[in-house]
Amino acid sequence: MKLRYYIALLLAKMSVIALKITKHNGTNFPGAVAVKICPQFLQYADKPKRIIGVTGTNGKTTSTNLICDVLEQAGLKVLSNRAGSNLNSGISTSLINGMNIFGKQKYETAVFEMDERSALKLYPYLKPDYLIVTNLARDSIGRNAHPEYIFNFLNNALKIVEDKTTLILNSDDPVSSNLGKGNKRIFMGMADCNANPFVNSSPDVSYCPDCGGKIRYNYRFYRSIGNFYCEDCSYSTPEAKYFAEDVDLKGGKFTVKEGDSRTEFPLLSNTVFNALNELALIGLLRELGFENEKIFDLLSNVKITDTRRESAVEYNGVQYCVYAAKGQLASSSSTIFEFMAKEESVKDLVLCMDEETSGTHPDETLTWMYEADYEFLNRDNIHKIIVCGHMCKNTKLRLLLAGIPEDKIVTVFNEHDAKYHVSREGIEKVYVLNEVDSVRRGFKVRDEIVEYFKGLDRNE
Amino acid sequence: MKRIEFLYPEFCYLYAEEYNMEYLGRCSSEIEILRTGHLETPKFVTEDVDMIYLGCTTEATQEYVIELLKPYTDKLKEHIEKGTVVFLTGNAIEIIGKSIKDEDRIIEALGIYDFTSERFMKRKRVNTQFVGRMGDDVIMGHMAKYSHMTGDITNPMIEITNGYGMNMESKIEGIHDHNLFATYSLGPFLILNPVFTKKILALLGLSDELLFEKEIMEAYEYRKTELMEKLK
Ligand SMILES: [Zn+2]
Repeated sequence: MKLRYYIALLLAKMSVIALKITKHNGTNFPGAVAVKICPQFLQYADKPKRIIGVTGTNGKTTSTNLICDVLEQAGLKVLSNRAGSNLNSGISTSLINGMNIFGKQKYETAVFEMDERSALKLYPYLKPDYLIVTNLARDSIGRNAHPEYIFNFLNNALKIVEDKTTLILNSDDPVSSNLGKGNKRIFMGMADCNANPFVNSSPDVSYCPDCGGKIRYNYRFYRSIGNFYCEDCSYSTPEAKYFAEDVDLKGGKFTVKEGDSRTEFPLLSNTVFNALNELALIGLLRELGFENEKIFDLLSNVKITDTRRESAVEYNGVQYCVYAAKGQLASSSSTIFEFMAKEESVKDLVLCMDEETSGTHPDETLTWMYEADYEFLNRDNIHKIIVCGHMCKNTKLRLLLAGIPEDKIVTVFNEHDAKYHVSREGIEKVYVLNEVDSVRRGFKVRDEIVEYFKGLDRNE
Repeated sequence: MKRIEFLYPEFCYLYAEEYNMEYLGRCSSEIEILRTGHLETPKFVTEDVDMIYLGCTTEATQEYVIELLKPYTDKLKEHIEKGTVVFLTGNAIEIIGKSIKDEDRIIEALGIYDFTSERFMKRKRVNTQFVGRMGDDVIMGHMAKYSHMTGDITNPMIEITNGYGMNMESKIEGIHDHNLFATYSLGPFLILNPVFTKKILALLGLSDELLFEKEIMEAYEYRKTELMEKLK
């Protein structure tokens, strides 16, 4: 069996060289080859001494990037799959890249983003020392069914690494905070920061996993994340080892309480979502033995790289922005709709959130559309909504049911026609919301709008 | 007033299925939606209701719902036989069969109809869409599940024309008996299928005019043509 492993490693290593020569970096190909030849590749591969895993429905990539940046800032050599996939093949590719030709691992520390559904294929072989679970929320229906299903799935995988893996959990998530009762668990908690989240019509959790009672909140951060308790039993936010207080999102700082000590840290982002990601990072660093002063310094020198951040160009006093949304995913869409409502500028929205590849994509159903809170878009600062793509008739119906006046809605089957309908007056911004898997599409639609207006102005 | 009992909305709301009731309720001012929680006795046991709706839930909760409803099986049968509209979506259909098999466990269901289901939780989740016929109407559906139904079903709700039915070999889907309509399809079925929603309204003795009728019919016609073209 080991022979197979060495053949797999050799061929994978050769494919790395081949890919480098042909300038195809950052693919999962070497790992895929290795796993194909030796399905137990992950088991046999020489691994870094210390492995940190990051999983959860939302925020995995942001957290993984952040942890890598900070650990590198601290002078560690960090192996990670940030450029590749979070599945077996992507992680195997990282391990291959980290090994010399004799199969010896060159890195001492690894940070791996891990897909939830791959838990059983990853945990037993990687045996992470620490596993950060950002949260467990509703995912796309085809992927992860419901939070309870994915909870059970992760929980079973965690039983295998009970004596090895320490969990770093968000104590304010009624789902993921209940994970891994047999593992060592470190809870992160946060005081109310007046986030004032909208109320979602389809919450990720609504009843207690212990008794079926209703879940209530003392305060909430977003969606189902907040200081919770069950109406009928003692199920509630567990006591946090690291508790963030005086959270000043605008002022960019918060204080983390640990036992009797309180330390102020800079906030890397003004969103509550990222404050929670940063808090998990601080907890991890403390568990790794970093002093608070050192953590303060490290945090002062990194930035959160959010790949889905808006990108804007200005023309004639109007900002034209692209903003990636995970279509077919209600929680992500609702969060973006809430942002669009709370961001005060008067705006037109161009929705390109359907699956462009195929009208029969299994996720292209009405399900996510009716879980997502289109109601949030029923605001005066949302001036017009241009719906693009093959599901535009259904989206229009959804918007009407959400109470949005018909004269604000335009439908175009072809997204390249959106430019004819975007307002030229009475707005400050235009947001093109594109499906996250087709970022170029969003930019293309946005650029077409700007070019079209420039053309009109030239011909005037 | 027409009284529609929405059973266990706190559990059976997955995949936006509660929007079935939201939409139906908004179609007519003559409709009252009664939401019955899991700690209450269902209203259909002691009162007259015009329609009963039960939606999809998680596998564990489905077993709990079976326990909740078991004592009232005969009452439910009575309602079906006297023509009360009963509408079940997603895995709620499995509840009216004989049993649900989950590896070596057999979960006894209500046994109102002669079929069984089996869960394959370790296999890949089946995500499919279908198009079929219910009488003269074209019906669309969407399934996302780990389980299949098998049995000698003589009164299916839908004859599948594109896609799969109650299992990957079947071209029939659901159960239609008196005014009981049970389908594996989940999500906002009444929005996906306005022609069916009209039928329900008519059965309730109400005007079959729909909320945003023009738009919902346009969306239906477009999606229907698209799926019939693209689905094998
Ligand atoms: Zn409880």
